[in-house]
Amino acid sequence: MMNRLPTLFMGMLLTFSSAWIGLVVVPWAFFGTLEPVQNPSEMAMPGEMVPPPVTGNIEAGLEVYAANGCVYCHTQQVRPERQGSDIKRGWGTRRTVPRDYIREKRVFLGTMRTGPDLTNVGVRLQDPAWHHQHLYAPRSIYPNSTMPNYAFLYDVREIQGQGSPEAIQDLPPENAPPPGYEIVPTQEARDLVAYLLSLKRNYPLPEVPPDF
Amino acid sequence: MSEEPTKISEVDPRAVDYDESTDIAAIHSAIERERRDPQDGHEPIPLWLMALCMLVLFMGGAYLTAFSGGFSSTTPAAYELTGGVAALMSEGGAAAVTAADRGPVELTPELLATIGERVYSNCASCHQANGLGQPGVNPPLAGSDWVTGSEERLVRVLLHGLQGPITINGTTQNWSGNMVAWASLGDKQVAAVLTYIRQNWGNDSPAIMPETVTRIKEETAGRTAQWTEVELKPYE
Amino acid sequence: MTDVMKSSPQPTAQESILAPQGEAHSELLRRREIDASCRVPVMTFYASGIFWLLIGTALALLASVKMHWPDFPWAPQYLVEAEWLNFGRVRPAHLNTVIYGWATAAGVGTLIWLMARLCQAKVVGTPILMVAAVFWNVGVLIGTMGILGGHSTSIEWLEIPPYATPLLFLSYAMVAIWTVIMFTQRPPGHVYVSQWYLLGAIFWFPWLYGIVQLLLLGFPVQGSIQGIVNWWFAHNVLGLWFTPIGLAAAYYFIPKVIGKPVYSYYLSALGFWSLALFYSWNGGHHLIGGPLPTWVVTASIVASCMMVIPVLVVALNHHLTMRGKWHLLISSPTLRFIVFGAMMYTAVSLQGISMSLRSLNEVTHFTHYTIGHAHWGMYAFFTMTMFGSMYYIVPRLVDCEWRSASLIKWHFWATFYGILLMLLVLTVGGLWQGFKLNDPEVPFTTVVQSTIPWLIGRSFSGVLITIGHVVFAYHFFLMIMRLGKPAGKPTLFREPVEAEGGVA
Repeated sequence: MMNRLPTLFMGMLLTFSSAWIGLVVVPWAFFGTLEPVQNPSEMAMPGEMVPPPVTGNIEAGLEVYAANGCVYCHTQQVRPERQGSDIKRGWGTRRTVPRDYIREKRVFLGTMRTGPDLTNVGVRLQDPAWHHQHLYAPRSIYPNSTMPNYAFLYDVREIQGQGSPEAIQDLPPENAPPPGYEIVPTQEARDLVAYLLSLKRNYPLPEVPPDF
Repeated sequence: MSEEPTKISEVDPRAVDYDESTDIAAIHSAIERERRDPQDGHEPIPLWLMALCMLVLFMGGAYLTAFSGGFSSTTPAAYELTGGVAALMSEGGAAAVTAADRGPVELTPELLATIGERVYSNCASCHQANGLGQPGVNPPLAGSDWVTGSEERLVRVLLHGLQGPITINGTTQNWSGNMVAWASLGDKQVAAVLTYIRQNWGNDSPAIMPETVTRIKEETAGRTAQWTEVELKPYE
Repeated sequence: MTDVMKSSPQPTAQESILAPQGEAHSELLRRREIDASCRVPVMTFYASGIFWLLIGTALALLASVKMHWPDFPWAPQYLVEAEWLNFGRVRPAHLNTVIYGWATAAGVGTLIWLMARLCQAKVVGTPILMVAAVFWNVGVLIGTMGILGGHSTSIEWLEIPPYATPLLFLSYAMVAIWTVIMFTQRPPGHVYVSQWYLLGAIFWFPWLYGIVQLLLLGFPVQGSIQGIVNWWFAHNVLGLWFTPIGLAAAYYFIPKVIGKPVYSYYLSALGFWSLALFYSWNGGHHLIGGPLPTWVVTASIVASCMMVIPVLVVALNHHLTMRGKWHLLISSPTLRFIVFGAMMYTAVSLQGISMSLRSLNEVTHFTHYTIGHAHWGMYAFFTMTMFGSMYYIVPRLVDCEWRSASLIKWHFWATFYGILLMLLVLTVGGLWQGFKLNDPEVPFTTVVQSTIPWLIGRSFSGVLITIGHVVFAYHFFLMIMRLGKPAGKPTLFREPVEAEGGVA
């Protein structure tokens, strides 16, 4: 039986396609075409759909996130209460489910937590200036951080007139620009921060009811 | 490969010709000393191995059934661990009962503190699970007079945020972190989390009830700016 | 030879372990012809693989150092600040150069030689292989430059930007077509176990690669389905591409070098089919606790646990084949690399099974433990097996022997201690990190700090491995330049203790 090419290939086809059907086709059929739902929270605006759309700057920022490999150190998934300390650490108030990711054209679930989870980074860190400073010089905020600096997403330029309102303020001396210069975000940096601020997966969903 | 075949010995005793060489014996030596191509033996599969395979298959089937989540993909059950092991993992199984199954309940201070521990997940990444904050970045909640003191001031901080240097237990300090507004939380959730931080880590202050939060929210309606310490003086 | 295999697969007592004397001359000539016909394609794949191995190793060292010294102040600031050398780009560039550049090339080179030898036929269609080699090299080059240039897809194991992947796909498809053509050249009759694995690998991999390109980059599926498709692919690259090639090499070289038949045909068959059935389902165990319904994850966990069957069966089969011949590990470089690789296959598979259990995964998920596991499989098993295969194959293709036994020793011991040290620090450090991560009382910055000593240890292990690779690449270069020892006696670690002929 195992000396003929057709029979060998038939066996290989059957074993391989069992997993292809089980792990790809069936999940796609069961939960591969989910729709956004009306936000079930009592605080929600009428007609507010969750998850919110991913458009414009946010979508552009997703590309910057991909291009610079953020996913190798940051996850975007919250495990349920009885697995790990994800919820206790404040990375989310509930576990994440498939519907949380239906608006993104590429999802970054991640497999490594060299840095903290970013599922809800837009909930807990809402200040764009903070993000710009952190991306430009991570160790100016957390001295022990091992995050690479993304200074290449920023321009150092001569101050014109009043200076840019976006310029990074309060940098410690070792990161500060020379006198008369300021550090301003490029469009890529603005997009990336817009994407980070959009990461808010704290709305309730029918699959995971809120506490009350 | 080589354009002008030359005998090995003429050039360099170490070099070898890629194409046909006269020195057949040397060239073939690697092949000559080779063993025959591998053959199959036909020993039977040991019985114990068959038994082990059967056992593994049986246990796999049992596990698949126990943790199937009803083979559902969109119901809450699909996202709960099910089965006996899950019940053991869930501290007596009680936590597996979701709040939705409990129905409407009366909010006692004890219940508020319990729920508040869950809501505190919003706060833990800055103020830390142990309530000690991060030095120079986010102030501590454990033992802080801002937490254990006036509820008027505390509710306002949570609803609209806080910026600038603050004085905690008599020491004034600047914090590089930035307390954001949490008006997006429901009044009950605000009350719950404040009750939790007022009664945890050795703090021992009375609970804050949802009605208080609702009242203060109405009093400060329209405010969007973060508070400063000076502005909050009247509510101390 | 063919007749023997057809009529009676069980060797009789009269048969010599060496090639039968009666047919000796024609048999030797045929092998000689087969090896000559393999020379150009196999050496092309091997040489380019080793080139990418060096590139991938350099990228690995840089990424490793950046993990614990993000601003390393004593180094040229260019290394810290250059956009294309940012950690987030160097790390995927490392992965893709070693997976597609090195491991796939080494695997294809070995596959070509094994297919030709096992089909007892000269290589036909060399141009197909050469075009495949060129496409594949250009594809990996464009892909790596794309990743470093900021076009990475950030889909793990698939970072190569979409504009380079058609070249790679065509290349794999050409190798697959060639393999089928070669298979039809064989004399009818028995098909040896190595060939099942090789045929499986070339059948599965283009399918995997094609589907995943369509579902993630061409017409992306929705939301977390992307996650499961991603890991279905990534785990199967290991399970249904590298593992079959590695096992094919082990199944060929272990009995070949020691001159004994494989213990049991039945064990071989059970091991192959259970691997095909269960390994393909494993991907979901990378998403335990992730945004997927319980049943998807559970199915993958069960399949991962079922892997105990193929793993034990293969380990048993190899162990019982080796029985009584362990002393040959002292002399034969091929056997030492391959037996080490095969043992690591058993170890890494059992580790993988344990990691798929929800209770242990809760600790090891998202930590360096998983990184250690990946290197255990891709390096300690697959790469070491490929080194072993090269030590056997290359002298037969270039008609000279490896120049120096001490260079082989350096290569073996540097990579052996390097990879063992890496596995030790990543495994222990990963557990340490996992327990701290799961304790919400430990601030996150403390967790980050606590991993640093382990990561420094990993960089040190990387230096050892780099030494091994440079030594090997130099030795290989000497072989290409035909500066090896004249053909004659094999280059062994030590003179064989056994009286019955050479072993390499």
